[in-house]
Amino acid sequence: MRQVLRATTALLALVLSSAGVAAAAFAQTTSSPSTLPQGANLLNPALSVIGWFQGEAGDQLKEEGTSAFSLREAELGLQANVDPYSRADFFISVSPTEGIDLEEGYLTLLALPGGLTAKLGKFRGNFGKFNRTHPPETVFADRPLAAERFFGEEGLSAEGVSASWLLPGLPFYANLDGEVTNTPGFDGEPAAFAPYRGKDLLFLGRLSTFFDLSEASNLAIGGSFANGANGAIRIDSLSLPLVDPGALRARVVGADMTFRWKNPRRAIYRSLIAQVEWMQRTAETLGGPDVTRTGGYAWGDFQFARRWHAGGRYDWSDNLDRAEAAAATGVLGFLTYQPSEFASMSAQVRRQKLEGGDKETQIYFKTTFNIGPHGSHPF
Amino acid sequence: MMRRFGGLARFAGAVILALGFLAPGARIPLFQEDPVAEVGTAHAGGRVNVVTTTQDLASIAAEIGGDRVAIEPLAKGYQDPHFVDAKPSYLLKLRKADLFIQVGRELEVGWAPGLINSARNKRIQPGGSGFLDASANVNILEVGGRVGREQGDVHPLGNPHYWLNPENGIAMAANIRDALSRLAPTDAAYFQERFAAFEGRLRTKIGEWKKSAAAMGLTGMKVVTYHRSWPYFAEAFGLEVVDYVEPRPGVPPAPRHVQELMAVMKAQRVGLLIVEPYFDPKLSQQIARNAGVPMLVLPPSVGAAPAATDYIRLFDTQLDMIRKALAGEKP
Repeated sequence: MRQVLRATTALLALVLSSAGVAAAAFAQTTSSPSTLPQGANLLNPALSVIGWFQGEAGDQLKEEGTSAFSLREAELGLQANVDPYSRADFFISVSPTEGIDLEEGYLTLLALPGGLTAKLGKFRGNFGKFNRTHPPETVFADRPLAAERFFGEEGLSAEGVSASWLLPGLPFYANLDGEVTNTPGFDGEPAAFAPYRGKDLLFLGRLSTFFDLSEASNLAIGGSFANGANGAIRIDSLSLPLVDPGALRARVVGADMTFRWKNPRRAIYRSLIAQVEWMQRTAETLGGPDVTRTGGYAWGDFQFARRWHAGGRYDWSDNLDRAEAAAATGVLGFLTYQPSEFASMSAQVRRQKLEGGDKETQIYFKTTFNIGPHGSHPF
Repeated sequence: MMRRFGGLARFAGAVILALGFLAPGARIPLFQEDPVAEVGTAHAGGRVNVVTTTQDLASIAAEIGGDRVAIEPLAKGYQDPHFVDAKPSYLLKLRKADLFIQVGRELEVGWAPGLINSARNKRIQPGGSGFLDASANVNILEVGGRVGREQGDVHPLGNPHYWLNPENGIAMAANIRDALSRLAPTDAAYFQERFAAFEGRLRTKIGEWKKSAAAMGLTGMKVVTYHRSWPYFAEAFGLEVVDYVEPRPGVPPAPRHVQELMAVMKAQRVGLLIVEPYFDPKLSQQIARNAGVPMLVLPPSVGAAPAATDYIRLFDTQLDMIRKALAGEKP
């Protein structure tokens, strides 16, 4: 553990010293000629808001404290270059249940050599494909069962540093990511990790690859790994005086594959995306064998007209919180209408079979709307 | 058990450290030198790697750069330049680029900025010596006025389809000449010579095209276009665009708009309906048939039609296709 801490300290020193060098270099830089119209407002960060309104019906509304309609989230984005060497991204989510939350806020160092970039701040962990997408921007009104059970309602997100390396010399795209962050708390809900002390860090690595199969189709394959604290929450309280619970660890490995098809000559009318993601958690227990739990999901989205998408998802996931392995499964279907690039309305139905055999049906109506400058199209 | 996890954690730490130290060239000072300082030495004897967003830019860059540049366009001419997927494989090209050229005016706003950010290439970041927005010094149309999303997917910095007036090709070529000369000053005279030759050829062709356009009756001809891609082309050859199949940019037409459009086309004696190749032509065919007007799928870019192999042949092809459409010949 001490070596890990040393490694972390070295990484931090490396990143911080780079920032210092960047600042010095910036001071010497002469300004580049700019020919676009300039004004004071143009130096403001790009400001955007995504609204997420949701209506729900079904078995879950029988529970106390649920509501049929909710403005799930307003996500405020502030993004700009800091200087020629770095950019900053802030995403602040405001919701009736969670209050105001800094969902992400990080500095990206763009001018590192050797195909490297680095991030410092709070960011969503680069585990798998689904976790990086902000909840309002996913195609689903809910989260896939495995994503929710492994990484909570909001996903895996923590403060720390990350480095990303585009592997040189290969005929295809391959990128290696490494992150050292705090072990996040998931609002106290059971999840793959549980924090205990400041020194119990989360280490995350990911290899992403991308292959063009043809002009119209491509395949992305990735593997992820995370090792973090599995703190005191799940420890038998009687054992506490005997063993330091913060020393317990859990690791999650994941694999994902995404196939995309889109005819570039008719890009706005038809497209297909199919994705499968698998993850497995192995957690230490006190005095017993390691516990392994598995989950995953597969989904597809077919755009069949300029404004229409239809798709479905299959879910399966062990319950991380139960002593014996027991999986819940579910299916979700959706039909989405997009009046423009900036708004989306989706009707979704989900049927879940829980571990105990209970079945639940939930109906969703998800509407998202986006104001502000034109952002990047998701890929 | 504890030892096993400790080992994994150490491995993760080692991987992250390796990312920091093993990367080639990762010596202190860690950040890349300012690219301006490298100019003149970096490309002596080598070719300047140029990546462009469109084939139009690639064609003009090839005219100026000759054998001193290697050029890779990202989007193909038959793609809608607003909707190009930001594929990670593009990063392999952008990482090596000495010069990145975009059309600008937010044409590529949905895909180019994210690619530039992820390219791990300091030279081509906005403001760097290897970033060129080719719209500088071009007379941009539809700038200013009130801008809001209620008007559709508008471009606040003006209409970005400016390469479709061949006069603007000269300003674009001059911008590319200047950028290449900054990056490879020893070749500046070569680029200037090629620019002068290209400008001369283009000016001669512009004269011929204008004559040919007037001869086929384009001066003052009323046309309808699908998207607002053609105001510069209309400006160059005297056409008057009276309406659009899209009621607002990026917004597909509703039945009522289609009815109104057909009435406008009949009342105003519209001579031609022009459609970009990446839009479904079925509805436009119906509109054209109903209004008794020829419809033409016109290539808006180099690479959008087999004959439009470079910037000059693009206009040759367009005018030839219009002449045939007006004469009732098959294109």
